[in-house]
Amino acid sequence: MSKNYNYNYVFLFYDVSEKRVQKVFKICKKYLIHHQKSVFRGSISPSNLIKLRNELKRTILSSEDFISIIKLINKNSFDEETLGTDNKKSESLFI
Amino acid sequence: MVFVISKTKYITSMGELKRKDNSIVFRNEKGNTYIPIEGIREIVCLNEIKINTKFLDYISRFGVVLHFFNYYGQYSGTFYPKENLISGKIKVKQVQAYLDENKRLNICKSIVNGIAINIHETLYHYYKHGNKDIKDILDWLRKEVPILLEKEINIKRILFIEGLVWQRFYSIFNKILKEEFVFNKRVKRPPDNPLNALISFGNSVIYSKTITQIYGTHLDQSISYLHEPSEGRFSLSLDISEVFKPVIVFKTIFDCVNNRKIQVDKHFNKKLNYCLLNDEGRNIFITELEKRLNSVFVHKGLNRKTTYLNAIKLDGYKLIKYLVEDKKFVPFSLKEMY
Amino acid sequence: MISIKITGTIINYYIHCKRQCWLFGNRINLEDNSEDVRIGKILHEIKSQESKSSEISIDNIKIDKITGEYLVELKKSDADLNSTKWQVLLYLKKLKEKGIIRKGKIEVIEKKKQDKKIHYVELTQEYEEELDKLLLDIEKFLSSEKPPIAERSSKCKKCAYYEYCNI
Repeated sequence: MSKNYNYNYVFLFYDVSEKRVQKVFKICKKYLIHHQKSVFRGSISPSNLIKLRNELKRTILSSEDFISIIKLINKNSFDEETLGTDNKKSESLFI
Repeated sequence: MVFVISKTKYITSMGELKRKDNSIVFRNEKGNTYIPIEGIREIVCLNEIKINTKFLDYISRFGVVLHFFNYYGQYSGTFYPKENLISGKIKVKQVQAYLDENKRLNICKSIVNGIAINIHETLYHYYKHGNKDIKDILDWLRKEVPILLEKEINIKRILFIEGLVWQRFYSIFNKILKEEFVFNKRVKRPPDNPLNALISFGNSVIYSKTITQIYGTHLDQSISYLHEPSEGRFSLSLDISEVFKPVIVFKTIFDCVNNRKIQVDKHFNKKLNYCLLNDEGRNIFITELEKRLNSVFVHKGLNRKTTYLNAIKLDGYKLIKYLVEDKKFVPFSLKEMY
Repeated sequence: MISIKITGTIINYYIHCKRQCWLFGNRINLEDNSEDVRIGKILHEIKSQESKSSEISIDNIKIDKITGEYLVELKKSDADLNSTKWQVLLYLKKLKEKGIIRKGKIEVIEKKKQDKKIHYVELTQEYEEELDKLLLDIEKFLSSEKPPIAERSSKCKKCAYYEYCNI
């Protein structure tokens, strides 16, 4: 946890062994939106980020698996470009 | 700390909501869409949705509120999760205030005065930008309504004044809105023209939002003051949402209409005896309402940034404070930003 | 006088902030309202997971950890150690009533004001007498009709009741 910033938006990438990939997927799904095959993203409160990090830590094998979390202040602090179609429109207000 | 995260999902397509892997999934022929349970506060169903008790039990544990709207865009009901904030003390005080005529009248007068202030602030924008036609109603709202409310009057009289405030507000719509949106009178079930369709739908949305916000307080939603407690299970949310209608619903309508975000020929379904927003129009309108609800301002009481959505909950706190600590109940004012 | 079961949290709040104590004691609990409180709660959970001991409940008090010699209370920060001290003293007294004699140990996750992470406290005769008096005061205080008015100070900034008190 950073002392200076409150991060409210994250991108999460994972590269984990097949044995644990389902577990990691299920944990991420509780907090974030599935964006691409092994990528999740979305708004998350600092407290939920601690919870998510803790759940993942307890699931992965740190010698084999690798998870990267890019933290941002909010949804407006980055720019995004897309090519092709995103069929899920995962961050939309509507389903 | 403020989090501008819209914690609402609107389900506009047909399908099934289910619990899956300790989270929520929405499923239909297009596939699975996952909704993170930890990031959601309410789900609004605007289409035919299948659900089961396992799903309801699960979202109840997380305090997620589920609202249902019918085909006409009218609010039809809420799945209200098991309450987690219960205070016998506050419930008793709520009932006492209802029975104590003086207290009940104080609350009602404050709400009606709040509506007048917020309508005044909403219209003042048009006056400032050259619309001098509306000066009469502005003066009436600002000077005369408070005098009318100061008198010793009963609840019926207060309701009459409230009716008058809305009526006079509607009566100047033709002076501030684009011509294509002509407005004759307020028609509710079902709405008869585009403007009535927007008002009805917008009011339903703010009502359901208020229910979710008040869920986050200790207030019992069935005990209300301006509306009779018999008017609905969540009649307190009818009371609390009133002052937010000008702030959220009408400001959004005026913006959508005057900036041509919503157009009569593109965004409505017209039938012989009713008029409804079509899917595209409804989605644009919801998006604009959400934007406004989640926009941030400095709240004068807190001296902190907060959202209009949170201001609804804060009005719940103000009511608790009136009930428990006798602090005068003053609902959200767009003038004071308090 | 009505009899209210006084928990560790209530005694802690009574020392920390009387208004918070009254509201909490009268079940106007807003604990989930502050992101800081949520963070504190989670860190607390994680810490107790790591130490592989679960919370122990005796009567209506919840104890984080108990060892042969110590009763351990985990805290997120050392911002108000005095409140925690009385909370621990209450636990020690409850244990003593059950015939369990322990010393108190307060473990701080993030140290801010003090330079050590572990603080000790013992239930002396003097403390016990003071505690009895304190419990009587709290019972009387909680049954008063209204809470005391909010006094604004720097400690309010991170409180779950900030919005309620300032509105």
